[in-house]
Order: sequence, then structure tokens, then C-alpha cells
Amino acid sequence: MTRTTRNRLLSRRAVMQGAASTGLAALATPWVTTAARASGTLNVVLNQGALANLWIEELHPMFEAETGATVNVQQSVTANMLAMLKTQKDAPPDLMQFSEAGVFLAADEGLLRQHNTANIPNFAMLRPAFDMADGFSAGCVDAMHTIYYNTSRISEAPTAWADLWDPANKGLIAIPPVTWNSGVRMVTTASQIATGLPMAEAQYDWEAGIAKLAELKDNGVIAYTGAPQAIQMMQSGSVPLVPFYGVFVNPMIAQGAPLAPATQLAEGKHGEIVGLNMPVNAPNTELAEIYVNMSLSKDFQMKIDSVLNALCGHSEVDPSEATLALVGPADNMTYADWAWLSQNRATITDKWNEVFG
Amino acid sequence: MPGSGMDISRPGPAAPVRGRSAAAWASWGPGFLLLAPLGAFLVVFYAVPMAGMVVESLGWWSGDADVRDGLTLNQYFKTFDSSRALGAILRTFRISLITVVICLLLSYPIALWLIGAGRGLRTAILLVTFVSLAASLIVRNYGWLIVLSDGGPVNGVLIALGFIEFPLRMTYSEGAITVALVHYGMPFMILPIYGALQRIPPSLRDASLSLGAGSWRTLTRITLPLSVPGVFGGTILVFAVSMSAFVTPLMLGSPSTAMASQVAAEQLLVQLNFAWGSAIILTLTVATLLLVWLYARIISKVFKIDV
Amino acid sequence: MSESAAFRTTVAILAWTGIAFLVFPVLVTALASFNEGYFIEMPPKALSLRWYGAIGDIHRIGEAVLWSLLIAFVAALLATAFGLGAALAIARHPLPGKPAITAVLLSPVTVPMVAIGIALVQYFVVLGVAFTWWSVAIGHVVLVVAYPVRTLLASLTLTNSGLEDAARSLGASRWRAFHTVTLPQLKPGLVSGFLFAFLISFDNYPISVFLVRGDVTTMPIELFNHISNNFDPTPAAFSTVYILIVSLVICAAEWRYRIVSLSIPKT
Repeated sequence: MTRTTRNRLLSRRAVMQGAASTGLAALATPWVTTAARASGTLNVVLNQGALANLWIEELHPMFEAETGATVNVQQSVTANMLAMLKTQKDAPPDLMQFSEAGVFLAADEGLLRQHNTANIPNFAMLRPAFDMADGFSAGCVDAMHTIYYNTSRISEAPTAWADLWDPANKGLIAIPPVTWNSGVRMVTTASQIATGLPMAEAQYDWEAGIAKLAELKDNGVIAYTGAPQAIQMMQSGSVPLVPFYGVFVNPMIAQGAPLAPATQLAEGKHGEIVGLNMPVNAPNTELAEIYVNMSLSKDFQMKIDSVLNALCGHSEVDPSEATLALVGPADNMTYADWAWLSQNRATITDKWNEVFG
Repeated sequence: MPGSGMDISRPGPAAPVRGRSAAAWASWGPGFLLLAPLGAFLVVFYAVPMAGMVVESLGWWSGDADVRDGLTLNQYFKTFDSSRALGAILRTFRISLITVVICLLLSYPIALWLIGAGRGLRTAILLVTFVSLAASLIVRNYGWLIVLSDGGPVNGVLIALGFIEFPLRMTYSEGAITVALVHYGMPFMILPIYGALQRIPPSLRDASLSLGAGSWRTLTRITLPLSVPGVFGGTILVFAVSMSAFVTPLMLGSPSTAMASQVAAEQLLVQLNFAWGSAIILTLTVATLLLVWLYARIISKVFKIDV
Repeated sequence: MSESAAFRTTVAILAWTGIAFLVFPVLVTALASFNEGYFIEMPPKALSLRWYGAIGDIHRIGEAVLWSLLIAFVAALLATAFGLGAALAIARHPLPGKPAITAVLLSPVTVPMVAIGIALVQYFVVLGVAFTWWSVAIGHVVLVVAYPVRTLLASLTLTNSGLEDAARSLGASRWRAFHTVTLPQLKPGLVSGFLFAFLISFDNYPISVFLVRGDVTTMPIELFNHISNNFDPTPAAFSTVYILIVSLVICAAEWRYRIVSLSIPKT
């Protein structure tokens, strides 16, 4: 660096400006650099694991070939994506992939841009349940959450979530962390069991749910904290009953892991629709709309069925035999009132941490 | 500090009895000139950014309850109030202490053995130590992830010997972090101790043995005390890198075993709370430096040596 | 006179336990990399090279390795150049407060890397140069400059400055004397300093993770991402190849330049 440049940078004014603007500048840039926004780059934040991999491996090459633009992908989870949406209002990414757990809250707070369905022809092909929050989210896949069991250690599939409280299963059970959406669903299911009410009413009594979940500590439950940990436990059999998301486990099963889902649970399996959401102020809306349209195309949606073995959003794609075997009856799925649960999530999280932290 | 305090300066022009003369200042000229590029670089890219981070930590975050202008110690109060941040710092300290002790116990015999080993074998083991130092930390941690995993050799042996029927969960715990940190620290511990042991004249050891002191007595009375500078250097280094540990707890721990660097990074990368994140990491840095300084004072008092 | 056999045996057993501990994870990783199945099991039921072929499937690993090579090379070059000046100054010239200066120069090793990363990302954002590859290199220089300084200081104590003076008194210019007399003697110090700076920069995660975004990425970051999201043994294959290459490079440097003795701290 030449002397003059250095002097300029270290001049009093520059330092003062720097100090004052550190906060704003720092908040504004981390997601997207100016360079990236100017060129033909689509900034996308995807979820984790096999779900994201399908997009990365199958959709991105297609997208890049057709549009000539590059995709800049980062990965995160719903809770973090929401936090970043709030602090990144000025320079958000173009698309974010998170589930209904975040969609309603984000839409209510004005953080999302409603999809312009005129530019996304495939939107019309979506099943009604997958059009979330009136066009604010393009639902692509139903990430089913249920109990997975290790077939070499457990001979019969569990028939109810209540089986986790069975003393016969002491030390063999795990639950997801409350930072995951599935962890919050565990609270609603626990309150279903505790109050005896159906899901639609029970989910609001989270205090009863937490109290019931706390009983699992007597049954030797492990609250896992990450996917690798949970997968390892399941697959090796050290903890053979682990609630987890189907889209993550199904590829393992395809690789020969001794795992199987509980396809029919008395209280209902947990359905959670994951969609593509556009933040307000997203810079590259045209490219984003092409990306969404491709994700909703029949071809790609069929891949969701064949690779992830999950229910997809396209109304003309029915689940294949293999998918039905891994997902079970669709009417056994329950969906939560995420609009309400998101509002109260902080309190639920704190109470959960008091019990399991 | 290892590697520092080497007294290799050439005697320059003698400074006059009263104050420094112009000649003395002039004689510093070439030295300063040679040092200038690195000095300037470190000022611009080390000192100033760190100062900026201190300023940032004395400010507010946009998501804080009441955001005001001006300096405040709020972020530091928050650090000590937060059970997560404070707990992480205390946990970091505890893990670092345990790591240093175990690392020392494993490394000292290696250094001792190297002194008496044949040339070829010694070079070979030293090279192994170097490769360990230079091999990617992520690679080494991944190795421990495999070793301690449900399907790994430790569980395999335990199951084969019939001690357990199903694998024990050893990964993602404080124990796993400690093992990996010990492994990380060993080269940092072996080399200074070996260096110090090398410096002990063999004649001292021979004299002690020929005067009738047994091997163990010679070890505790002669070798050990004389190797203290090396032990000091090694323990400080391992302590410092353990306190700063980031990748290791990230890979081998869980959120409930978070160490201080992780918690600070979380605040930054997830919440974008630069103010609090900076405060946490600065608290860790100051704590580490303070403890290191305290340790140095204690060692020089107890062993009456200059470190 | 030498120590008793019991003593020597005990020390040997303890030492070799430690050495075994040191190499164990590497050996296990190598073994796991030949595992045929998707899930790691010890000992492997069947052997296969398939995961070596899958190394290329690690997301963006190719460009990550290239970026890391570039960044590490530039960082090591800068660090060695700066370090040479500093080492010469400390070893050969009078300066006030030398222990303090040396301590400050070597201090980035003890400051948490996350602190350096956090401080620099904010700084670079303010300067408007954040997330460029050379800003990552600068961050690495701050961290690794201590290594060339240390090895060069060690190297300089082994050189005789009198030779350089002799050359000057015979009429050689200052630069010529330095260049033909001292510099060749410093080769081991230069090479080992550069090598360590390079390897440590190449492997760095805590500083890189803050300074990297978008186009730029580094090998440790992509490797770490893969390990966090996937459960196959591909990282084991990658690790084995990496360790092999690093071992070869270090052994070559030792054979040619005898770097080992230079890196042992003289306290």
C-alpha cells in the first residue's frame, strides 16, 4: 500500500466514518457482496442435508445452463434464516428455503414478498396445502417427521408417539432439540398425549406438553443436538428409537442402513411443508422466479418423490410405491398452527431449555 | 513465550551513562527500517482492527433493548449475566486446564525418550510430530470423530471384549473435545520440552548418575528442574490454543458443550450481534492473557528463573 | 554411566504410548477410507477405493483447493518477506525493548483466532474490501508471520555475521554481501518458515470462516461443510490423501534443508 493511500485510510475522518458506520455496514453486507448483486448471480439460502443436496445437485446445473447465471448457495436452518431476514432487510438473499414454521411469522412481519404467480406458471399446479400464506411461499416438499427405528434392535414399528414414554423403551429413545421445528412439534404431541385432546386444540397447551416431555428424562431420553449425532445413534443401534425427518433418513435407507419409519402413529405423524420464499427487497427477482418455477416443474417434483421419497407439491405427481412405503398413509399426518407457535416460540424454547438444557 | 527472549542482539554502540545519545538513536535506524514493513503491516491489519473491535464491543446492537449512542459496558455486563456465555468461558477454562495436564503427561516421556534415541529414529519421530503439527486440524478432528464413533475401533474393541453390547456414545461430548485438544497440543508440547532437554549438558546427568543417584532421582532432581523453561513454554502454548479452541468443539462437541470462541462466533454469524460477539471474544482474550501472565509470574517466583 | 534398564524401559513404554496416541487417528482414518460400505465400521467388512473417486464430489472442493493454494502461497510469501526483515532487525541490529518487540510479533499465536477473524471482518467491511481473496490472505499473514520470524531467528543464530562483514570489507556492496553470503545460509530458515506459514494458512478455518463469502471459499471450509452434512467416508479418503501429500513435502524439506532442528524452540 502506498504511503498516501495508507494516510488516507487512517485519516481522522476515515476512522470516524468507519467507527460510526461499522454497525450498519457490517449488518448490511454479510449475506451479499455488492459485486455479487450486480452480476448475474442468484443468492439462495437452502436448508440442510439431503433436502438441500437435491437442489444443489439437480436443479442448480439445470438453472445455470438455462439462464447463464450462477447460483451462490449458503445453508442454514429455519430459526437462523428468520433471524437473518430481520437483520438483513436492506440486502437480503434472493430466495430462502424454509418451512411453514417460519413462513407465517415472516409474512406477518412483512419480511417476505408475495410470489408473482403470473411469472411462475407452475404455481398453478400446486396442491392447495402447498400454497402457503396465500402465495407468500411456494411449497415444494412435505418434510415428514416421525419415529425411525433400528430394525436390527427393535423388531416392531412403534404405533404411537406415546411409545416413547413406555418404560420398556428406557434408554433407547431420543428427541430432537427445540431449536429444530420438530422439537417444537414434540411439545405439541406431548400435550396431545397429556390432555387427550386432538392436535388442533392440544397444540396450544404447550405447558402441559413440556411437563409431559420432562417425564421422558426418567425414561433416559437423549436430546440430540445435530443431524450427524442422531444419524449415528440410529444407524449403529446405540439409540434405536429416534424421531427424525424422512427426507434425511430415506437416502440412508437407500444406502442399506437398518432403519425403518413408523408409518402409522396414533397421534399422527408430523407433516411440515418446506417452500421457497422470497425476501422483500430481493435484488434478482427475475432469476428468482425462474428458479422457483423450475423447482415446481413436474420433472423436478418427480425427483423429490424418487430421490427423497417424500410427498411433493405438484398436484399431478402422485407418490410412488416406494414413497408410500416410506411415508405411510397421508391422512395420518398432522400439521401445526405455526402462525401461533412461532409467536410463542421464544417462551417455549426457554421453558424447554430449563428442562433439557 | 516460546521462541522469544532470545538474547542474540549484537552489542551496539555503548549508550552513554546519562540518557541516550544521538548516536544511539541513529544506531537504531537500520533495525527500525528492517522492522518497519512488518511493524506497519501489523499496525494496519492487527492493532487497528483489534482496537476497532474493542470500540465495537463498547457499543450497542440493533436488536438490543434500548439502543443508544456512545460507549457502554453493557455488552460486558451481558456476558457475565448470560449463563451461556459465562458458562462457556468457565467450561473453556476447565477443559483447557485438563488438556494441558494430560498433554504434559503424554508429551514429556516422548521428549525424554527422544533425547536418548538413535539418530534415525529420532528424526523419524520428530518428523511425525511435525506432520502432526502441519496436518489440517479438521482432518485430525475428523479422525477422532471416526475413532470415537459408534462404529469406530474403541467401541469395536469394547464390544468384542464383551464389556458392552451396544456402542457407547463418546462423540459430541466434552470428553471427545478434550481428547482431540490433547492430540492437537502434543506437538506444541513435545518440541519446547525436547528443546529444553537438549540444552541440558549430558555431563550433568552423567555426574549425577556416577555419584550414586539413581535414574529416577536424576530425573526429578536434575532433568526435570532444568527442563522447566521448556515445560513452561509448552504448557503456555497448549493452554493458549485450548482456550482459543473453535474448530474442535464445533466438530466434536454439541451446543451444550460450547466453548467461548463458539459462543462468540454464534453471536456474529447467526445473530449478527457484532457488539456482544466482540465483547465475548475480548473477555476470553483478556482472561487468557491474564492467566498466562499470572502463570509466568508464579513460575518465575517458584523456580527463580527468568521467563 | 547411563540410566538403569528399568528406567529406560518405562520411559520407552510411556513414550510409545504417547506416539501411538499421536498417530492413531490418522491410521484409523486411512483404514476407514478403504471402507466399502457407506457407514463406517471397524474393521471394514469389505475394502474398496470408491471413496477416493468420490473426493471430487465434495461440494466446490476443486475451486476451494485452488483458492486455498493461492491464499496460502501469497500469505506465506508475505509472511516470510516481512519475517526476514524483522528477524534481521532483531538478530543483527540494536533496538530498544527487544523482548517486548519479539513478544508482540509472536503474540497473534496466543490471541484467539476467532478474535482476529471477527476484528478483521468488521475492519474490511468498513474499508469496503471484505470477502476478497487477498483480504483472506492478509488475515492469514497476521496469524502465520510468527513462524518465519521464529525459524529465521533460529537460522540467524547459526550464521556468522562476521562473514558478511568480511565480504563487505573486501569490496562487495551491502546487498551483494547479504545476497551471496547470508541469504544462502538462511535457506533452511526461509524454507521452513515459508512451509509452516503455508501449511497453517492452508488449513486455517477460524479466520477464514469470517472473511470468506460467495465466490471465495477455502478447502477447510468446504471440507467442514461436507463433514457436517454428510455421513459417508469421503472425507476419510480426502484426509488420507492430504496427510500423504503433507508428509511428503515435510520429509522432502527435511532431507534437503534440515528444517527440523530450526523449529525446535530454544526457549
